[in-house]
Amino acid sequence: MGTTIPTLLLSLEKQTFNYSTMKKFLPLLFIIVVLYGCVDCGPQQELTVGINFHREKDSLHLNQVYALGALDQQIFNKQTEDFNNSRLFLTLAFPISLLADSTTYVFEFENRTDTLTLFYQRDFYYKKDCGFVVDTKRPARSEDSKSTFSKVNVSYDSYLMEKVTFTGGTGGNGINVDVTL
Amino acid sequence: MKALLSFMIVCLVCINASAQKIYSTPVYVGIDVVKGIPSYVFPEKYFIRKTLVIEPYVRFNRQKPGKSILISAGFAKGRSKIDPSRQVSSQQFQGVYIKMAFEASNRRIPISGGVGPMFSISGFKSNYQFKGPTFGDYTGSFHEKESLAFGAEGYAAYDLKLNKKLSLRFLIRNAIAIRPGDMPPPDYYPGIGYTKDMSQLLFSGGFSTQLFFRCK
Repeated sequence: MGTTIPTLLLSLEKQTFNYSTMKKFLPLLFIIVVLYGCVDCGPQQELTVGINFHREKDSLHLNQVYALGALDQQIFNKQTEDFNNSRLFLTLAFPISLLADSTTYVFEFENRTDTLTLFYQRDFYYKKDCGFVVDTKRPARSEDSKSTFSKVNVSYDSYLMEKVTFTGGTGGNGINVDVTL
Repeated sequence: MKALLSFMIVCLVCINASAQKIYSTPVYVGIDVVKGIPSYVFPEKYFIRKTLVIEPYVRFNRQKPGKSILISAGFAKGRSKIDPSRQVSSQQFQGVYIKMAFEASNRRIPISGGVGPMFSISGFKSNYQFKGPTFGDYTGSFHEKESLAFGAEGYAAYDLKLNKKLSLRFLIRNAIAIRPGDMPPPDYYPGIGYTKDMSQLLFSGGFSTQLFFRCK
């Protein structure tokens, strides 16, 4: 009715500005939405424990390590190699059995053999938008491990992160073992 | 199975009894003649395997011309196609459902459209697997005994008259339903259809063929 050409052009310019501004912010909005909606599903495969070795003598040579009841010992060859190539402190990841509430590892050193049995409680459940997940808990029994090593300390944490953040999240450390040879 | 069949018969009788007041002749009874058959003919390719689906219908005209009501009570039992790449490779399902539709028909061409509520009670059984390359795979089982879903179904149908008493109905249908609770997504939901990877909001469509017999 009373719309002039300059008014029309101004409104068009405003619309273009709004559209281009929106276009710039869209990726940011997308990232925020994606991160806000992030859920840690946790592990949906065989779990691993982190074993931290504290050795007083760096000369100790590991000939072989294996797990009782393991169908495939391939992974342990790499762990043996890493152990022998490292110095005083070292952390290695070892798979644990999902078929039982304990896993036993045998460490064959040059002049001695040690065993380490870890106890845990498996927890399988359905998690919305993720599927079935597996986690572990502290064992119901009083002892958390059995070993011939001089000192073993086991700490239990969930394998699922408590909170997912920009930097990765908190928690989700799983089982960690400190072994003093 | 006996209890389910009795339940379906009682439902149909009750519905029919209460419908006495509103219907006018003719009354049709029908059954789905396609559902479940592909699962026997192509058990390896179709998304469900060896699935028994019984879906009888009662259709009666309302007092208004071109308007009718369709009521069905169905039963489905079978399993979904095996997919070893998935954590849950296959599911077994069993369920009963009731559907009702308010239908409107075109007077000149035998085309109808209907929409109405649906309700399903189903159970699901499955095994899930965690790959264990070192110690061997772990297999667990899951059993959801009673899962409820409710929603609506709409369809468009074409009726082909075979003789005075029999007619075939070809239809395209779409169902949408809500399933409360955080349960694993069903591969096939009795009364709704293919619902793979849908957890709470179920949505499925398909084609079907029904055979109707005119009673009165």
